[in-house]
Amino acid sequence: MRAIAGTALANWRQRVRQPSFLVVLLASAALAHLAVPEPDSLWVMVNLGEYRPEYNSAYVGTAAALSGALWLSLAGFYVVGGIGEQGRAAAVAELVAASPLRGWAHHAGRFAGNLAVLATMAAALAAAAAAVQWARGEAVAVDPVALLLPFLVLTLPVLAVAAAAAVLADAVPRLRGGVGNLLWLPVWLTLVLAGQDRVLGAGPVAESLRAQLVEQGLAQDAAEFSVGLMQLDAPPQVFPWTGFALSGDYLAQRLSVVVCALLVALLPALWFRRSAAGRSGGAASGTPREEARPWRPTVYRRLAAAPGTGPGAFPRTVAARFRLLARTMPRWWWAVAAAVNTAALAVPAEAVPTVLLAAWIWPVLLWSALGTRHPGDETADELLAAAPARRRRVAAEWAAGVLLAALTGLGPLVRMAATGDWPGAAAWAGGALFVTALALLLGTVSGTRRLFQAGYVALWYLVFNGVSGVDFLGAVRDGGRLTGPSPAAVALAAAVLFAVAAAVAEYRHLRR
Amino acid sequence: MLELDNVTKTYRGGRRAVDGLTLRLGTGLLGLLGPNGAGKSTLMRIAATVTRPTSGTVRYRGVDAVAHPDPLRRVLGYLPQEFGAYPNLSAREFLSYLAAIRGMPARTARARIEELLELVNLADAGRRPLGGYSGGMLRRVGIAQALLADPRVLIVDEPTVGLDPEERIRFRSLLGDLAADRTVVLSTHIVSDVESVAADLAVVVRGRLVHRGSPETLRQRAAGRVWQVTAAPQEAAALQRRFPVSRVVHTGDGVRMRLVADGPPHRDARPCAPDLEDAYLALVRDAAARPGEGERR
Repeated sequence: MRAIAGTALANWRQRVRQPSFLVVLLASAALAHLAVPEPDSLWVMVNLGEYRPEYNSAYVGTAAALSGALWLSLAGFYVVGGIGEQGRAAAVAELVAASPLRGWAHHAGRFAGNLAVLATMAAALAAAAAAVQWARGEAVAVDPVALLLPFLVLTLPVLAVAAAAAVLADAVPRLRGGVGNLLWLPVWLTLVLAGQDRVLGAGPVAESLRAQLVEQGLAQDAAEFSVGLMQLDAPPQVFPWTGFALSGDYLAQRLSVVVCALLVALLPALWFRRSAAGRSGGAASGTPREEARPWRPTVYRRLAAAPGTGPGAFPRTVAARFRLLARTMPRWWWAVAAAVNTAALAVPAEAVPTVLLAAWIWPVLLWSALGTRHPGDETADELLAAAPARRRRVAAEWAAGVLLAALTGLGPLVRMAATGDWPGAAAWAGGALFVTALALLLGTVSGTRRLFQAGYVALWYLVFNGVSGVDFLGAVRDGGRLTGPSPAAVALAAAVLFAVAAAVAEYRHLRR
Repeated sequence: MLELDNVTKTYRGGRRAVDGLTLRLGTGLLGLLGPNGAGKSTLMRIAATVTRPTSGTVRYRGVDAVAHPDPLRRVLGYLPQEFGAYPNLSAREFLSYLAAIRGMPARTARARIEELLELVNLADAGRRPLGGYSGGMLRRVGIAQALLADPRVLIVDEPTVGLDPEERIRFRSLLGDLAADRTVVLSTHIVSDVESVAADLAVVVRGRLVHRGSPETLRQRAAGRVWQVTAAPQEAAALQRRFPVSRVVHTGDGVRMRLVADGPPHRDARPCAPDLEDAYLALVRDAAARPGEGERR
């Protein structure tokens, strides 16, 4: 138990002491304002049609807990993911591998650490919920039990699922890093949509709300109930609600979700033996080092002079950054990118924007590297930071990302040009600038790839679902006409993002 | 106590990092020398149960440490070559974490951590985040963690990287003291690190053991093959292309070199008594020239 607690505590400390966790906590607290909106707000997270309960502790706690279960589980996966990667990068995994710690205890510790981090976020949400209840003023007396109990039974089990998924993604080599991050969105969607009752545990809440609406003669039996972020036609009417009942069966079901999550987290123990730096297994893996020829003292002869910079330095820097990005992907990855681009030449013209959408989810792992530093790249970064080309490097990084966008979206562009879809081509250009500037900014600010991976996938998903307000690449059309923001506005936004990224990079350099 | 028998490690792609190496370790300090990339770290990882050999056996007190690593892990202190730590944890917290996964009781761990932080001169910095530590300080945390469980087997891989000269001397002396009643393996490519503390040396080249014995026997192997020459720069450059050179000093009379050759390499060459560095250089050169040969002990 001490080993599990020690692992959990170390993981928790490592996470919550990152400066970015303060932003995570603030965002978690801000969720309370969305979960318990202003009385005249048309946006709600718990939708009961024309009605909503009075903002007492029971409802504020329930609404915030449901919202937390939904959104903190989505975002929390990205917050707690990658601790194993950090450990491997810091060679801590090698120390763990040489210890007598059992595989199951190691994963149980990781799971507990992840859950503790997510619970900290939920605690921030709960504290903010209490403040919001008081601020809304409909029922000023805060009942701590009524407020906190929903977090225990609704939020924590779902957060346990996210914590377990992060452990699993970190333990499966193919899911480590970006792939697991990309898969989490569809997995999470499936869990919360298909498992609204079983995973989210919202069944008794919906039943109780409906029952009290019927009791008060306000609605029929089948009043609508949903959790998410929805817009109403008119502010809902208020009705009194005293909370939902916790039956033994329900508590057992919630406990079973936690147990299932724990089992998922322990799954890797089946194949985990000594996972230090991926050196597990009897068949030797990894990359050996070449034996160095002994270095011998030499009689110094003058070296030829080499010019520092010259004409063409920027294109050379862009090409170098592009090669660094591109070589991380295997040939099959490029083959798929080529196939998607070829498809753009063959599909009907109206399907080209959809192909572009597909083409520009593919490079997300490469774009997410923009602005970030690999764990082993610190030295290179220091050297580059000291070079005269330091400022040019940020621009070159953006340009390399744009070049990648151009290559992976070339087929749709050619097709749009061939069919005279010039507004589409303009949107393509704006999109290429925007997505890379966004990657550069998020990578520079956070220092990690996860923020862009999570944020871009969410943005892409909204565009995929036809939300025209965020259509940065011209994929949402109405009779072939662009319905999203104008390409010029998107390009302007990209310029602003780039400027902020460059300013952050410069500020960081000055503070070294 | 710890026996590696005919151990081979083949990486994907067929490259052998360790090639049929046999090593028996008892109480005392073994200095493991070899060029960069010779397979020392792979051998250390195998001995530390972090990675498994492709073939061969590793036994600790007669127990197969590949199939049953726990008896060895319980008494093992290991400092890997690439040591890092969670940057947001303090040294105390990080050591406390490692003590927990080693199963040490909390109270014992606390006392031991204080003791070790004093030992590695980090007591004042023990509450600061490791992310702010210098390379040398981080290395000292690594040394402290290797000693956490009062290990009976201590394996340290390039432990003095980043330490200043005074710290290196202190650490070498500490290793010498520890070796009085336990097995200590000090892997390095820096000859001076082992010269003063190791009575037993093993030299690995291209994954094979090419020498096992005392520093004196290694020196004797180079007897009559070490020469000192003072030559003009052009001549010195030509000599350096032909023979392994252990030292070069530019003087007013030309370039003074110390080199290894089977016979006098120059008309003005004077024979000298080999030191450990010369002997090591000669051995590595011979082993590289005759890759099939190795020594098994």
